[in-house]
Amino acid sequence: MDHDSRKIPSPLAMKAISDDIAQKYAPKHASSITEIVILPVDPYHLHAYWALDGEKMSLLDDGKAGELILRVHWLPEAEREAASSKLWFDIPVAPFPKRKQVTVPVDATWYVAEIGLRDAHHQFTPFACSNIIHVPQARMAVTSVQETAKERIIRHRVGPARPSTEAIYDESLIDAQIKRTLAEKNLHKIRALLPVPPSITKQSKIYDEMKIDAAIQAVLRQRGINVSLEASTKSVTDRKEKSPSGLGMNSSRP
Amino acid sequence: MNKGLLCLVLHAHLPYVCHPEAGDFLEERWLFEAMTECYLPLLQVFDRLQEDRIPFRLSLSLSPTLMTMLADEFLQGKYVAHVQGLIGLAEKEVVRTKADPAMHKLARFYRRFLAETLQVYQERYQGDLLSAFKKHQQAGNLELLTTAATHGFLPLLSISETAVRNQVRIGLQTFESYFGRPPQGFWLPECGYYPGLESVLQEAGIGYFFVDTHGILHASQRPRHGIYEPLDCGNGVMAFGRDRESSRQVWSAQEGYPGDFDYREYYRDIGFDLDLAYLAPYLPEGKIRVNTGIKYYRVTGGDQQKAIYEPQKAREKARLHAMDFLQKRQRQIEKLSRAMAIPPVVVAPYDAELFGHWWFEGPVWLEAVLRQAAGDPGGLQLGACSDYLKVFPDHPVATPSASSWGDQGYSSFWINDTNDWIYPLLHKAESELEAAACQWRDKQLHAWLERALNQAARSLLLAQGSDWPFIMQSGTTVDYAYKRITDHLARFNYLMDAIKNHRIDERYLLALETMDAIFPGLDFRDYCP
Repeated sequence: MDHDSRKIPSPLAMKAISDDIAQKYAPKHASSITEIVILPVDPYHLHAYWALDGEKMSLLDDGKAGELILRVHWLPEAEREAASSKLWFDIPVAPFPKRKQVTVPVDATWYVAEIGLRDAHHQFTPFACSNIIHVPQARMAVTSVQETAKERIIRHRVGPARPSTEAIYDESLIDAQIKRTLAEKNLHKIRALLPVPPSITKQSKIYDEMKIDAAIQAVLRQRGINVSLEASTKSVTDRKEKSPSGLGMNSSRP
Repeated sequence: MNKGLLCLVLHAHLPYVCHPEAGDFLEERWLFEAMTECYLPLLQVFDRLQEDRIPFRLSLSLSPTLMTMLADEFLQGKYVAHVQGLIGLAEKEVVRTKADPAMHKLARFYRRFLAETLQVYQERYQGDLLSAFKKHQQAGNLELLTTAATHGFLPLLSISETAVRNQVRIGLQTFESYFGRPPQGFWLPECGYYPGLESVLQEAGIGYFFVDTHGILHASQRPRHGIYEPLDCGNGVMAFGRDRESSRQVWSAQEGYPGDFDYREYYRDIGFDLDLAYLAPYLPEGKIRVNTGIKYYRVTGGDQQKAIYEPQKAREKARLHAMDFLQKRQRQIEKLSRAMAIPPVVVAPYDAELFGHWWFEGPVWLEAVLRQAAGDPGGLQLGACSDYLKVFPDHPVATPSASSWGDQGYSSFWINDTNDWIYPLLHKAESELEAAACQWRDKQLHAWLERALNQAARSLLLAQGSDWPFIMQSGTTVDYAYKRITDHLARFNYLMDAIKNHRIDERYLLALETMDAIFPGLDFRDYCP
């Protein structure tokens, strides 16, 4: 990119060129092809966007042909084709704005989506099939699955999500709660959450994080509970608490 | 390595903001503020340690866009004018605050600080900060790393592996052009990882990268030592996990050091506090309020009226916090080493701009950490991840989980209803460029056509930066982010149209090459999958 500096347009001319291009060549969402693309957002969400060619759009004009449907297939066993999927759900979508965030029921698995038309007889005609994506595993959680009269038994949850009726505790929140509770000398609260080892049932005057960790881990090991004591990811990744790359300077603006 | 290794990693990045078509361009101040408050102070920390023969070792990632801006003579000249303007404002402040001894003392502090900044920049570094970093790399003090070309958020570009490959490859080319050799490690923009990315990194010759904590903890096989041992991604490329505890101590607004009441308050700047007419000569267009860097108050705390900043007291607090940080890491490593078969590695990555810009005392803290660590040879050992891999090359094999260090830990910050409209446009442009690259790759091309194809690739790369969707979501300078992304895509469309029609206005092409003068070694042919 070594150029004769005498030929470089003046700042004013460059500004005019930039404005001219911005006006005449502004990006447009119009597409002459029909397609659908999906992107993983987080363990329980994917983002879909699609484009329909003129012919497909015309089918939607009067609504008589049916309604536009986003069909999301779950591919649980490394099935990598929509056709082989037996598990799906439909979401009616409007032709515009041609994109949608979709909540998916299961983390750590594969999905594929189709955009198409569903007629009055519930016959689905796909227009296009998306790429296949994998949504990541959700943060590990501890699930209360059983409650006796005296205490709860906490079990480590691994794998697919449990029904929403179950209470799900984030391990890091439990950890934070345990430490906070101990530090604040409110030990009675912890009993509702975890069986407490006798060694730490007495109030400790000095908050010793290491001793507390060790005691809690001992009782967890003893009970065969596979839980690690870690701080919440969110507490250190929340954007309010950090200046993520590139943003560092932006807040300097009014 | 005694009981373990602490790896401090700073990631320095700013989006490419260079506007030769404009005079005093507001967003160029992002770079100038970071140079004054962060990059120059950090370099001075490294210089002082070296002069005092204090051994130190940490990692610094420099993004390709930042490297390009730091090396840009046009921006270097603008920076000098910017600091000269601030010195003028500081002079005026010295006069204005005469009746208030505490404020007056601070005004003189800023006048001295800014004058020294300019002197160091011009005389010691000759305006060339990259060479100053290189000197410390060659001395073994710094392990320099880099990141993707325009800091593209790779999980959302991965619909095209070619897009990801070029973000990585062009980033590495840029680094090599300034530092003469490729880096061993790679900073994934926003720690954004997806399974499969390790293949692209391996192909590019990268030895290791970083992911957020849950990227390791939720790997395909739960690692035996959690985040305190890297994972081999199955192809020899290692993934290191961020340590939450050391991050939280520095990052967290509630628990972290920067929120200490004695530290300087970032949000009270005379650019917003004083009369507009008084400030006018130093503001963009004489009327747009901006941060000047002259700040008279400390955090103070609670709802109390802000108290006057006391630099000496703040520096002392930073040294205490450094001691606290090291003690906690020492305890952490001792505890871990008792449970682990090999010495643990604790990786503590931060945005470099936190040090000095957001947390004014950050460089003092860092210097104290490095000095105190060096002063206790039997204590904590600081190093780079490559040092750890040299001693311990073999690690458990597993694939990390898709993750990022952004809010919620995945991709939602970069794709949501504030910014999702950009992805169809970016993906479509990528696809067009790939088709054009394949069409023209093996043909004899007119010089202008070759230039136009290369410039189209630059336009696309600049549109792909993670900064634009980030800004849209965070709600600051949204108009600028919107304009940047649509301008780059419009330039891309113009160039593709010209290529398709075999007709281009030479003046237009030259103007685009001047306005987006980045990645001179780029070859459009690399976009043919």
